[in-house]
Amino acid sequence: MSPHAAKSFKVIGTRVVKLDAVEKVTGAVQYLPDMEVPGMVWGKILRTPVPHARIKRIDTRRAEALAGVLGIVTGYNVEQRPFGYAKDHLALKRDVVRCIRDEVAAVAAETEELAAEACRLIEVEYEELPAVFDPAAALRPDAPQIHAQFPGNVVSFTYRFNAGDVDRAFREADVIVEGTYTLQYVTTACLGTMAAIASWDPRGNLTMWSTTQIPFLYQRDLAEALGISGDRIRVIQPPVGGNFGRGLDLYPIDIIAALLARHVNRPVKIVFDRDEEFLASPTREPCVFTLRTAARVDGTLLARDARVIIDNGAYVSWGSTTPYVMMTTLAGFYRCPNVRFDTAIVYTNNVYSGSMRGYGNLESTFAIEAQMDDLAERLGLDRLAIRRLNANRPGDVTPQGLRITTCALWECFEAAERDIRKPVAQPPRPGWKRGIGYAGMFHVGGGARVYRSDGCGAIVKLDDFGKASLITGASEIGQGSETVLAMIVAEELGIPLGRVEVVNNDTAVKPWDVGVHASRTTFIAGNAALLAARDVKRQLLALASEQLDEAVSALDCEDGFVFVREAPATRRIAYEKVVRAGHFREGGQILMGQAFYDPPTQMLDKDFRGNVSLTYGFAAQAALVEVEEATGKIEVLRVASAHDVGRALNPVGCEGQIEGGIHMGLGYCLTEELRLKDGRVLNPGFLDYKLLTAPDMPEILVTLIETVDEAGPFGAKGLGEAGTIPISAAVANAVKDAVGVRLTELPLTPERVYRAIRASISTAGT
Amino acid sequence: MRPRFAYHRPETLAEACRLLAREPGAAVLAGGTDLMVHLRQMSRGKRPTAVVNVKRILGLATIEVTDTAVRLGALVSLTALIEHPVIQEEYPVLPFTARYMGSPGIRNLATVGGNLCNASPAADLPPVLVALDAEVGIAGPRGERRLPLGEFFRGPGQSVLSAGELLTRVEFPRRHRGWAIRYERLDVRRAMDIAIVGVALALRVNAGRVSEARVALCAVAPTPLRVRAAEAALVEGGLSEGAIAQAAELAMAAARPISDVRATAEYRREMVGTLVRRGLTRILSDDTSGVTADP
Amino acid sequence: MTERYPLELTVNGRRIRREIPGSRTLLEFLREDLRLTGTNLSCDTGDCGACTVLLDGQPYPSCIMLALDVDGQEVTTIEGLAARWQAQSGARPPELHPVQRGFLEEGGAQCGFCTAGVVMAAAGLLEAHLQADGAPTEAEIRAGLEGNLCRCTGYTKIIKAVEVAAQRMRAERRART
Repeated sequence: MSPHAAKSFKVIGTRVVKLDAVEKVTGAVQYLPDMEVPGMVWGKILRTPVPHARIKRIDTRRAEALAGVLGIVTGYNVEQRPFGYAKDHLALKRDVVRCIRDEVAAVAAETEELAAEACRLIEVEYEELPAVFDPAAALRPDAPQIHAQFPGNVVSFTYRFNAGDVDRAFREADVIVEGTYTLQYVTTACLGTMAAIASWDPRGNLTMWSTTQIPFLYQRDLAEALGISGDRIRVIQPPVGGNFGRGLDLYPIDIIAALLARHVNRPVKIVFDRDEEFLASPTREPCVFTLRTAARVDGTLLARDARVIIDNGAYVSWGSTTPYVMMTTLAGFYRCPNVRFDTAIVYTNNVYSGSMRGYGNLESTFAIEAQMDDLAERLGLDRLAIRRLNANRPGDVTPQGLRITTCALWECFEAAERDIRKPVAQPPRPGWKRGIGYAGMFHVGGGARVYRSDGCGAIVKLDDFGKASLITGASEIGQGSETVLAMIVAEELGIPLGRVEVVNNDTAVKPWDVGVHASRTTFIAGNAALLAARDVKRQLLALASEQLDEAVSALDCEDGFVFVREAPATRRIAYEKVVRAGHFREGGQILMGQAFYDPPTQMLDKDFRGNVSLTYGFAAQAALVEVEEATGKIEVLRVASAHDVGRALNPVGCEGQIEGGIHMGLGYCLTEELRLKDGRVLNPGFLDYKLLTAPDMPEILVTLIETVDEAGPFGAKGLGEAGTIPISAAVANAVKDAVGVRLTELPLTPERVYRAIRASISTAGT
Repeated sequence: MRPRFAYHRPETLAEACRLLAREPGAAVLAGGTDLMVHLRQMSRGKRPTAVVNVKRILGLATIEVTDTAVRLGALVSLTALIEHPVIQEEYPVLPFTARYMGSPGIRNLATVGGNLCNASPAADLPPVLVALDAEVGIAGPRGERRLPLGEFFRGPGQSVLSAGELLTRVEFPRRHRGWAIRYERLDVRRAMDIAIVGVALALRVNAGRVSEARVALCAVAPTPLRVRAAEAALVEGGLSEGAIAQAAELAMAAARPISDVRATAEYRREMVGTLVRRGLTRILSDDTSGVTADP
Repeated sequence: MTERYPLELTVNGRRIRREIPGSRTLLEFLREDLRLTGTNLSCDTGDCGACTVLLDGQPYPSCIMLALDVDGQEVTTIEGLAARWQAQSGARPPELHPVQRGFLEEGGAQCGFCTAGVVMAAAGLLEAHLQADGAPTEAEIRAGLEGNLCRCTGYTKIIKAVEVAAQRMRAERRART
């Protein structure tokens, strides 16, 4: 895996057109909602109108009588098994509904409209139960119990980490800052909604077309939920309209589509409406993050003590495993020797959260970076100087045992500072105050051993037209993984990018991969592709050496030719000829290489120690904002975003992920909130769930710093989540710089900022 | 879920009024940017029995400028309003305001009449048109009638149109040479947002003295709200610091905002004051930024 | 409710004649009746721009329009944009519209779900500016695309793609006239 430091690349590092871009700009791409399967009918889900209730009675007769309805499933007429991380969830609810998402029935009908009409005709009698919507209230002894088998409404995961002697460090500290940060529900809000098509064949095998991003785990979990063996399920991933972590679990829509299809013996397609998408697709975990940081008078960090309360919602999904990452940042971002971390994860009758880009790191970073600024202020230190003092460095080992190899964190800050301080064309407007804020981040960049395996398989086939096919376990979810993997194969094999195709969307064909998450795809799938390409290259050279009658050591390959190094122009054969000669003969062979790359990392042990990733990504962002004191409005004028990417294999892709990540992070910071009241979603639409529009976005200046990590494919590290992680902290710090108020609750709506400014003026006066 | 409904396409005004009189539960379809959304959200009980598409009726989509009046047909699209050269030249506050609404695609479709008849308390055009002393023309079974725009709104989502009536135009007198006219709006995003508070100001000013004033608010009452007390304060005190402060106080006192998912009532009330002060201060300093037709 | 009305219009240069229910939206008609699935359904309330098509060259949100309301008009969807450009400019197939080309070169599409709507809105914007022999500023491009939500790109490369396309279209038009 040694880096190609001095060599210039032919494909890596160049600006290329995304492999599927032509289909996308011409409308030829077929997303799941565009698909039709012969004999297909439509499914619609009926959900509870109340968040917590006993189901007294379901009567589907009127609905079944509607012409065009093929069948209806409920928790009472199908066989299903519990699913989900804590196995506390049934796809179709029996006896009790626990949150406003809960699926009570599903209808299959000839048209989508008929299915919806039929849903309205299903009669369900509910007996409402007392409900609880706040974690603190849910922990009280008299609170309604959400799950009988989990008394006290406590989700049994413990994330308790201790390193060093935190209490002593706090006693000996020169300064302590503390704060409580309240982070809200946001949702992925993908432009393409969740969807599934389920189709059973006469032998009882199931094909699923899904918006999942973890096809193999999905295959296994779905089999379990349906009570069949995994070899009976094939998962196909059509092009998807975004994911960002949404597709990281098995959800009721998937199981229900399969149950419905089995029930009516026809393929069934379910596509979420937009309001259903806001209601029923997974959110980021809302939490209250309490942090204390202790430091010496020169700014050296001594200790951190954090407690996070997470609103789990009604069922356990990935949102409640995000403390893994919160903890990693708390214990690892900036050097801090004494660390204590604990969580309380609480069942409520709210909607449940899943995984969303950044996966807990946004919240942790928000708290930490607020306190770095607070410390600087208390100690009279420069905000960047205190960060430099405590910055992670190559060779560091964090209290959990994470091994930092390459690390350009400080260089990222320098680049961000340089760019944020470039002149701004227009002066501040009257009534607006300007400020600059900084925040950095640290995240896994070399895979993430969250499961026992962090592996990905790859097969590279070379055909007799000189074309390479990469069959990879990794999934394309719009982020550009296909393109960067093709670039890796093209570079390694010495062929143009246009001669590489990627096959990656069918579990019946592609080798195993644990899934798209934790920014792991470029690194893990990239290494797998590189190894598989090297394998096929070895075979190619071996075959060519026979044909050229030269030792392999005398040969090179480039531009689609294998040639003798000493006589490149005269003694060479095109790949296609080598391959053809390889199988058009007696005792022939094909050229196919394969690899399964699973990095030498460790899962966290019971004490939360272990090196979960083979390398780590770092970044720093700076935000230049203007705040209007009379209204509380914030405008972000410029974001400088500098990233230690190892190597920018696909610069267009890197920039795109960062720019998009900044959009998502700024939304989290300024305008996005899924508002829940008494368990109901108040704003299930784009009018009042506010994604930033084109005119809202600031100037974005991106710097890619290449530390060339020897563990990564051509030196690359993961990047997918990085742009999202620190930006809220940078903006909050910039607001502090501009108007002197420390905001600790997101989003920073004008009203919230205005109130904080008024409050600080009135306390300043006393 | 997508609704199904009976559908009519009258060719004349008379036919439309007859249809509407016969089916009081029918909804009028102009651009559809509000109705088509409402139809998806309405419960079955409240759904219109039929939809009457009025876009085939001739003569309702013109902008007519005479020496004394500017007449906007009910079916004038927001884009047409924005692009009309006389409106751009003489009433740039109208394109400025219309640009806050929706998006370019929505503005191609949405109509002035539709915006008024939808009667959203947060709609931006109503306070501006009220500040221009606009009147509406209504056609009905008993002929035509006219009404000051301020009397057109009954409550949230409700106009005074009765069964069989159709809004045909809104017009205002072309007498604002020398006036300073502004629309101040508070929102969260630069586009696609509904106003949290909107303030329309129209002043006939000369050397700091105000001879006529109109102050109209949106999003802080069930209907667009004209604050005559604030107008009187400005006529009396001109654009002095005291009069500006007083006008702001009076506007805040007159507002009856509610708390909703976008903002609290308290914040809205305070922002009325802020926007009134800001608008008047800009008029005082002859600041025409943000009232030109260009973005 | 099942009464059908005649509809005659041009879609991507082809004359179409159908009978459809009054309540059918233009988006439904395009996607389901004509199987032109390039235009996507994302919110169905006119709030995201994914369904944008051109009507006589200008952008409209097809999800909240009745198909019958475009009777007699010329609809262009993403599938027909390149041909429209070829007809206007004399370019030969399979040359793409400059906005499509700009997207390829600058990386304007990631997941691609918003792309058809953005490309159509941008094409409409540029066509309007071209009439005045202009090219829009960055602010004007952002304003022109303010009704198109994107979750993947942060809009940066979309804006760049449209800027590149604007320059190209202006140069092409000057060369031609």
